Amino acid sequence: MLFYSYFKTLVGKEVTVELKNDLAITGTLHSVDQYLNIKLNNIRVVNEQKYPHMLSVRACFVRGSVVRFILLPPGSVDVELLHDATRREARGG
Amino acid sequence: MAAAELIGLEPVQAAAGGGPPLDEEESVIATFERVQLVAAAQDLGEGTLFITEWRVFWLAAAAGYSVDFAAIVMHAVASDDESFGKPCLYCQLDSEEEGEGGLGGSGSGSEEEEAEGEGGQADVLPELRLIPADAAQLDDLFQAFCEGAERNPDWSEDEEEEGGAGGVFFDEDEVLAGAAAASLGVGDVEELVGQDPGRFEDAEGDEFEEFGQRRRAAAGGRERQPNGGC
Repeated sequence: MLFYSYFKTLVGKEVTVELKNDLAITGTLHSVDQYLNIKLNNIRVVNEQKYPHMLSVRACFVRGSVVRFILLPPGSVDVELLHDATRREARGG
Repeated sequence: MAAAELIGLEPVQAAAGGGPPLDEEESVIATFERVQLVAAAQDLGEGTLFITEWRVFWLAAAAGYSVDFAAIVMHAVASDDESFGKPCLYCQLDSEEEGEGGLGGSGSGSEEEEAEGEGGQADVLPELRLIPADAAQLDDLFQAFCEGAERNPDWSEDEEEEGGAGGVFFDEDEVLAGAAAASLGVGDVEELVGQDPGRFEDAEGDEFEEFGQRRRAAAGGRERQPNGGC
């Protein structure tokens, strides 16, 4: 739940989502749900030589289970808050 | 036709009434007329798209296919050369036949490549393009696929979260209890101190003294060390 709560705070920010099939997409985070399904707008594909046809994509929906990494905007990472939240979650879990 | 099946589309026959062959407890939620299907760069022509609780049917006079929402890795609104420059719904499918975790873990990557190399299929990307004749349908189509994916989270998560309403990991009481403890600032230190109230007291003596004690002990002294040894 921590990831979901945290990613919700990133809505409207630019993130890069890397899929398990190596496709990496940068876009504005439109929404995220509890399965970490992710909707992005204003997309560009990072590794476009491998996926040239993805250039024309406007909006996309990525299934949470195929996400390998999410690269966060550095300015949006509140280390103190995350530290606190992870500790709380670890204790609760 | 082979290309469509290669990327994981299930060939289906239309039911008697011309609609999709539904299972029990399955129903058509939305229908999109005149949707062209391009599967793995092969144009299959125009057909009708049926969306049910857990899968998508595409039926045309010549052929019919279905694919589960759970196998759709991502979908996007796009327009490119292979959709003839027209706006389409671009879908990527899970490329592993029965991978337990969607696209599989990092370890399976090399095996997959080897298998593809042997079969000579390395350049078949598991992707679909759905091109509605009426481009205005595209947003509805995108939305329908989003809802379909949300209705069909992963199998493994279903198993782990039995009884969890919509995948909520903590119930309200648990969250409030955690928040209350945190706001009081209790928990951490008390837990760690446990049965040992002196745990975080300053160490008695310094290294120099300990060294002295040890030397005395080594010298044959039987005196009890205040720190209980080491």
